[in-house]
Amino acid sequence: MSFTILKYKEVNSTQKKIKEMIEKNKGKDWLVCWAESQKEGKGKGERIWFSPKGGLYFSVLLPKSCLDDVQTLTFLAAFVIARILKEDFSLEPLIKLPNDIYIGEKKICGILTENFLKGKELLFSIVGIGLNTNIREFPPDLEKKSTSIFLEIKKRVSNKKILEKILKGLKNQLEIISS
Amino acid sequence: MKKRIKIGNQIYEIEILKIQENLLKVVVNEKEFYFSLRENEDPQLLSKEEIEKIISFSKENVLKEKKKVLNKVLKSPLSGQVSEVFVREGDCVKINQKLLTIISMKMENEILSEIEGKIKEVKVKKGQIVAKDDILIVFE
Repeated sequence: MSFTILKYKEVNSTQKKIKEMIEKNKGKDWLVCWAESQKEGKGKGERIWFSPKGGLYFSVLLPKSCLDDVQTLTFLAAFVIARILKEDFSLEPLIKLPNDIYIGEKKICGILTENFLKGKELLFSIVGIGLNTNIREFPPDLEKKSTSIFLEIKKRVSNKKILEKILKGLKNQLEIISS
Repeated sequence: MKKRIKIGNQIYEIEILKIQENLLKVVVNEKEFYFSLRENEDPQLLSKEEIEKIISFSKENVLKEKKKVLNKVLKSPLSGQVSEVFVREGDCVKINQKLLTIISMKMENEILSEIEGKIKEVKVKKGQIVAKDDILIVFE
């Protein structure tokens, strides 16, 4: 099964975009909505994920799994991304459980999973990831608590390559845990 | 399964079905006969009136069972914290309507209704911690 990647210049939120696709019966396993920027990127609860142009923002519709596997995958997603940051960019990421990634004391990545259950039956799960890749500056309220790959290594990186690596990693992990 | 027996020159096609715990249906050449089944007793051939009585009684039971299923509760599929409750007592909800959200280890779980019905009681409040299988909502 390959990925179906839909790329957008700007969306309200990639999570919302996937939900809209599902409502229109256009949802399918490993559908990916990737946006260059988000007006209201979904953070935890009502929080908004700062999503200017430059960062990597995407949501993935997972194949139907059980709740335990999705929970495990949400943890493992952080390991997949931390590994890429360490191996490809020589960063020293820290995973703050369950699934935020920090460089030192500054957050670089957030992962959020939304499940939709009909009673106990898991209908679908969407994993949303926001990774600060090529963000050159943060607003004053985030400056001290956020960082990006660009700010750490002073080089631009390819969002496309990172996206493909993360997706491959997620798929491998889901195959392992659900086998 | 149908069986054929021959008595003299006549061939009979017979089928015996246990249609419920206390009722046996015997079909002989497409003609139906009903027998009552009681413990330690031989099967008794039933009259038309007796059959109707038994069948209508079991229909009533089926309806009662269906009602029981509808009068159900929504249990929490996982442990976590209730972050939003979208419905109130007395609300009529439709299938797939959003009822509440539970946050669990950074997963946001939207719980949708699996039935159409009226809410008798909402057992949880925003911010409440729930364990797996705790009752969240009772339907009428």
